[in-house]
Amino acid sequence: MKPHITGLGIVTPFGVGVDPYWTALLDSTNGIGPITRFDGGKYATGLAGEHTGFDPRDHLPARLLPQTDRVTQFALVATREALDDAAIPDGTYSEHASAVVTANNGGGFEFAQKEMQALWSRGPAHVSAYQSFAWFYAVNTGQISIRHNLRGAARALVTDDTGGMEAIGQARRQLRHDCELVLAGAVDTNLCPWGWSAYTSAGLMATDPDPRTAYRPFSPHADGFVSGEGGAIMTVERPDRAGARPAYAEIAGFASTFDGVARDGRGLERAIRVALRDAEVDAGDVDVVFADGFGTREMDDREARAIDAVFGPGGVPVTVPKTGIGRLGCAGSALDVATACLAIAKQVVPPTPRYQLSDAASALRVVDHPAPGRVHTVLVLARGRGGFNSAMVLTKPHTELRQDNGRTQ
Amino acid sequence: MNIDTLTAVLRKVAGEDDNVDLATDVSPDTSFDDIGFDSIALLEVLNLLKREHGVLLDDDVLEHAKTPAALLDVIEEERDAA
Repeated sequence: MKPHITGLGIVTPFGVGVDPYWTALLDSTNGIGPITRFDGGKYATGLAGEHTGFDPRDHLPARLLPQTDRVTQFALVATREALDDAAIPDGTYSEHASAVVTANNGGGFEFAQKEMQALWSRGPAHVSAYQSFAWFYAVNTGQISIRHNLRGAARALVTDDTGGMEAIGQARRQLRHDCELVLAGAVDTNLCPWGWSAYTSAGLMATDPDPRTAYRPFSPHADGFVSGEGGAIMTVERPDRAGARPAYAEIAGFASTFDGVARDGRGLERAIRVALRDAEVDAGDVDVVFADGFGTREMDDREARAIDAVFGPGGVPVTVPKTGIGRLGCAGSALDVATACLAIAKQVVPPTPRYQLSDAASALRVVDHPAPGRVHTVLVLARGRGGFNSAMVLTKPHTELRQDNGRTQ
Repeated sequence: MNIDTLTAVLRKVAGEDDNVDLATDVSPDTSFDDIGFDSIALLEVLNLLKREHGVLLDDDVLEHAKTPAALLDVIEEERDAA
């Protein structure tokens, strides 16, 4: 049983929805700029991939606004988009066989910041009762479950930037057990002073103030990443439930490893090999790799070595579409899976914006312009700080492959 | 305290529901359930009553006060007792 990804809900700096995102990817549009939500000038970096036009009142009932952080508003909007995209009306699924799995890096950072300000400046009586859940990592899962009446498993994963992909991997596990439909993925935002402090304090972010050059994965000038906000939630279904409705892709293989302090990059290579074996595909079958593209020289070098070790030097096209919007916390890996789905559906590899080849990664064959062609099998990579590695293999749905073969014969 | 003041507190806590206009649609006897107030929202109502109106109520009043009118009665009782 290979689960089908049937609907995508996307929120990015380019707006809400699949179409503005895909168009921006093909145009290599830059979604990175100076932060507008607060004064970023006081921090090591003031650049971000910010979704500037978002007004939650355009998308959500007013009743939900006082009790939700921006991250939960993104999550609810992305979930609605995914269900609509999959043509699954509310209530048409078995509520007890339908699950939610999301990931989070910081929970409701901004909500928590406001309540801490109230606590310290005015006292405990001024802390909102909604603080009991609105800051919390599991809040998106809970609010999605309540709003759409999904009463199967409800899970929240925290594994740094691999989280979004881990959630989709967990969805596959849930479908094997007792579910027929899972809403899975992640959204993240750290765009408030409290969240931003948590990120900038680690010293891994780019200090280059130029939005066009600050985040340059696999470049010899890479000096850190830029943070962005948004992410993707998707409908993952048992193929028998999805029936004749179209699917973007099948989840063919998935693996996770953890390096801990052994930071030689071998954990990523192992995750790739296990995911390929799980998918029952050879390295030579992979049409493109969506790389993690951390954006520091050391992390980029390690990833390039892992890809080279499996595919051989220049053995596979590599792309990092997130270069245009930055790393979306744990949600970047969910968005990469969604982007791989779109690449398979549209048979185009989206480019890596503003790419300059790195000396150390010179063997990598990085895609720097939209590349139409055969996209049947995609490998997506993700890493988190501290040694998290994940790899997922997505393939064109087998029903469509059979049709393709029928046409060519 | 009158019902208008309490309604203002309710609106502040929960936001205006798109389908329910608290000012005109809600009679004082409409249940909190029907206007979409869950237990956390009601705790926040008690918070606001304490903070902005000096009304100290114990959480367990919510077991009996299921409507705005009933909550208003409890508030008046507390005030009389104090």
